[in-house]
Amino acid sequence: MKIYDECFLGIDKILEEYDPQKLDIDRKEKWKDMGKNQIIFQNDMAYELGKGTLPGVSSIAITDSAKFVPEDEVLLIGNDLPDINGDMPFARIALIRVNEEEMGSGDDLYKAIRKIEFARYHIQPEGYMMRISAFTHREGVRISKKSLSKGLDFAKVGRLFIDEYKKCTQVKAVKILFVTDPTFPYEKLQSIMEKSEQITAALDHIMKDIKMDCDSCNLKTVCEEVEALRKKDFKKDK
Amino acid sequence: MAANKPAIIALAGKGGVGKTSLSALFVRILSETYTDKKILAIDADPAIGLSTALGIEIFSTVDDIRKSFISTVEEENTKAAVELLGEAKFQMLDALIEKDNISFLAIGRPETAGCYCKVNAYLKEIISMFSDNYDYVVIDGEAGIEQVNRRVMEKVTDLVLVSDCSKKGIQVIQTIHKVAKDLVMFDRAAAVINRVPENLSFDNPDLNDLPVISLISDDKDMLMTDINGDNIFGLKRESAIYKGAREALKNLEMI
Repeated sequence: MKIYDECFLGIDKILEEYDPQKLDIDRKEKWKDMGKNQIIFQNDMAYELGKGTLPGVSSIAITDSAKFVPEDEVLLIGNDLPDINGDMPFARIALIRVNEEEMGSGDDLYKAIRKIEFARYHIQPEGYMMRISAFTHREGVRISKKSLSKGLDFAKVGRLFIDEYKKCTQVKAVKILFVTDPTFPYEKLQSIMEKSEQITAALDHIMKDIKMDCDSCNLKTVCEEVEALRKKDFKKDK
Repeated sequence: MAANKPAIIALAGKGGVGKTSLSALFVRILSETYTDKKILAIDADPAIGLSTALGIEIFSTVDDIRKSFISTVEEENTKAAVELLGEAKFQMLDALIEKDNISFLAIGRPETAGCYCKVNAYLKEIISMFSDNYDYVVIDGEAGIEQVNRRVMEKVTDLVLVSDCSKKGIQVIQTIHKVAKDLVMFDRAAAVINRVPENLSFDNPDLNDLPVISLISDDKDMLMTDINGDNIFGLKRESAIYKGAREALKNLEMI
């Protein structure tokens, strides 16, 4: 499954410059998942990551290669939650390794990818309220003062994300990258990950065999690339 | 965060009877009485007068969100339900104004052409989810309580019907009460009669099974507050409408 490889290569290139810190996710006790929508009000909030005009980047890319995602891990570029004192730019990227055989093909493949994407809507780490906009591809986070005092950090949040993604049986390993460094090239990351969004959208187009005027469609270029890769990846497809 | 379900008080009645002033006073009195509790004020009247009464400046309304939703969904094909709910929460948090222990949400003008029941359902779902995090919710409704049901909340705990002494005002609250009973949207209902002229005997208005929880005489202090465009927090505690609002909340066992 190589359709997202360009995104992985782009991220790897950025990471080479930033030397992310690998967080210890094994020794941490499991942080509480609120299990339903929680609201953190401004009065109860320590700060907001990705607030307003600050970058708030979030995306996902999927591979079957252990070269890109060898094992479950949580990486951090910038300060961890307890060391942040005010609103900061933010990015959270989920890099997922799947078993290609279990992903299916055609519409099943598209649905499997979307199900993995939607995992973020199903977790609510206590004191970590995500604000997700699918319209603007933004993800911000409100962090509660109370949870910080109880020891909330990215390792605990990352562990919950990994567990949630792995509820999808096709998922074999998950690499979560958190970024809070103000000097990080968020726009560059955004542009790489926008390609990932376009690939998934194009996959939906192609798999459904939508009859349309391709010359007038803004996904035309991506569709052509994905179609070429899909032919390599999924030989059984119609 | 509220541990239990909130008390949800919706005020309705004919235009011009003082619903907004009473709603604002309910918010003020609850916030002063319970400084450790959270109160959500929802302005469901298209005129958006409650924000002025509470001295709150609004930047966007739920209806603005609804319109942006519809145009985006129409332009960009469909989004999954879970994404739309996430989006509604994202945008609604921007529309929610927080000031000490009071939060404020304006619903805005009623929708124009077209039926977007699904969008309304998503937005109502988020309002309901927000409400669960408060101890008290006060809704300043427009005349028709069915609008509250359709655009704000499926169910309220306390329906407070406000009228002046006019026959028309009384008829309106009786009609609202009847409609509300048919739609089963509240736990209990009560009436507040506002602006009772001095020297007018108005002790037993014929309201059938609707209990009157406060009779409030015409209040010059409130009139001056309105004329000056002051907010409700400057109104004297000795004023008739302040005392009347307290009496109503006491009779509802809220304070």
